[in-house]
Amino acid sequence: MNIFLKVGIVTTLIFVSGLMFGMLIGSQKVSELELTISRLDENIQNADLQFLFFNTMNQNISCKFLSHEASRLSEQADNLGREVSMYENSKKISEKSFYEMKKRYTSILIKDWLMVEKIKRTCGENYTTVLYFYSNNNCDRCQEQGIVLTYLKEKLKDEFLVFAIDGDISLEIVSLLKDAYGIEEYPALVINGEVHNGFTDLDELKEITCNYNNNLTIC
Amino acid sequence: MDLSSISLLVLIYFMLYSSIFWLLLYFEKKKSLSEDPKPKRFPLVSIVIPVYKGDKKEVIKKAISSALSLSYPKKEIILSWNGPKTDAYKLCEKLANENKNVKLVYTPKKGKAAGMNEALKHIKGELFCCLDADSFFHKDALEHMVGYFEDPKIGAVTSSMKVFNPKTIVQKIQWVEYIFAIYLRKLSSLIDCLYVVPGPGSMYRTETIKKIGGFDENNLTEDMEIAFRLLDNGYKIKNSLNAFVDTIAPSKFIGLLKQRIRWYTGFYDNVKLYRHMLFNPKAGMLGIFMLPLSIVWVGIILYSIAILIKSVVTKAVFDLTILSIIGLDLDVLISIIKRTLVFQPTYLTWFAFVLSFIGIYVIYLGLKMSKEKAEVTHKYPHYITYLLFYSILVGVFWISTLGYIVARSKLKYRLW
Repeated sequence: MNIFLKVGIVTTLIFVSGLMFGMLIGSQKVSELELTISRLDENIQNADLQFLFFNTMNQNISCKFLSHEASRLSEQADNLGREVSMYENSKKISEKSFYEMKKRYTSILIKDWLMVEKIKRTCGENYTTVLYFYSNNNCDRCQEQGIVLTYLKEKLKDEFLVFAIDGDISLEIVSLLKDAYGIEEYPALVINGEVHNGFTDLDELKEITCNYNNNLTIC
Repeated sequence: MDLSSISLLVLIYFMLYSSIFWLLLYFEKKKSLSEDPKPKRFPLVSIVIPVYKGDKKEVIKKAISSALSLSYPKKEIILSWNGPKTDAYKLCEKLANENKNVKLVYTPKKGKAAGMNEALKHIKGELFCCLDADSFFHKDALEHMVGYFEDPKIGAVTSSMKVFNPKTIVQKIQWVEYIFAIYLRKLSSLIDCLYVVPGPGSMYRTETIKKIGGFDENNLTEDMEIAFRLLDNGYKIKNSLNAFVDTIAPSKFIGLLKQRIRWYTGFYDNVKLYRHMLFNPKAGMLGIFMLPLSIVWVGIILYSIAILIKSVVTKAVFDLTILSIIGLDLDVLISIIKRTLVFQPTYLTWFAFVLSFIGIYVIYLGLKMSKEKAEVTHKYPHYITYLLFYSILVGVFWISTLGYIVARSKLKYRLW
């Protein structure tokens, strides 16, 4: 047989096996993430049930318990978000299943945020919650904004809860939130219910957080 | 998928294809690789050692003594001095007077090609060898080469070059590179794609070289030009795996860079000069396969370097942004770095694995073909250095070469 043909066959085999390997790893990662998302969803439902119980049975709401729940939920969402963005940044082949997964992740994240807000209000907690709208396509300063938020998160841990939402994702709830808060550009932050369009620098963010609760280490 | 992913996949396919090509060729011809045609007779071979003011006395002496101690029965040695005379010229005179087998010829013209052409006038041998003064024959080298010339179509036969006594890191990396070159040179010769007849230790048919007009004195790499001219005139070039020659490689980076700029500029000049052979079926596998392949490889290396630079710059910009926002808060910096260090396998991981495996395996084959043992002790780290950095090094050489070519045509700046 012609050597060029032979080489072509061998090369194509190795090439296709590589692409399949990538797809396999990708789908495995996606299903792994799906599982984590389901677990988070379950936890949110659990917290919701507890709320329902306290409300329906006119019991005194155990805020100590719920606050702990809130920080656990946000931590889970945080870790999941990190994995999702890591996967998003690495070279991958299967875009479609990833996009579906990301949509599910985003809606759970919003649910998570709502739950945390509910606990916060009911119990009169003063940790700062940030809804962060970013875009991977048309945002010059999202990278910087991400760094600023990561920094404060590292510093304040449970006192600073960030929910990062990809504003480009086509979900009704995302458009609704964007409309409701009047998000015009990226990055945009909703800090404790207050909207900040455009990049918010570290000092500004520190000030806002400290105004909310001045017992923090950074204030 | 976006354009950059697609171009990356095309690039990977091409890299896989060309490395697997040589590998399969190796396995097809495995048995006959080390076999040289048995010579029916031993014609007189003239060994030409071109010398000039840049050659050191002790090195010249060593080259001559390696030629004198060759076991080949019928030989003469011609020292061909080109350009201005130095002290070393007197040494050559002395050696020529002491030994009746050694002759000294002289031309005031500068350059190795001029020296070779001067020697051509005095050569008595039916065959002749070129031995650069910084190179040394292994004792039995010529016996392995002469048999090829039984075929009248053979114009030249190349040897297997090794780096002599590598001491610096630069030389040790080249040692591995030359091993790889032994592998590639033999395999290219099987499909008549050799387009260099290296200065250290190659053999030519005297009549053929005279017929095609001797060496080109205006070419940067006359050993490549003569190869192109031989092939263009329908002659063939073969390689003997058993004819070993040691050569002194540049010991410092800057010396290596200069050498490679000369080689690569020579490649550019000669491809331009013989462009009619490109994609020309009359030029055989060289025209339709090897030359296009070599040119595409240059593109691949430059493209890879561009990707590398881009990712390094992006990373640096990102890190600087972090630093400018956060300042030197070590605890936070460390935890951010930890976050980015997580390994995420993708299809690229697989291809990187396959290509590195082929790279390691090919070096192993090269060592086998060069009859070298994989010395784990002192050369070992340089296999790794070679595999990791060689392509970057070649990229640097090519970028410098392109810079030189532009400077040469626009500013009339010349290194040689």
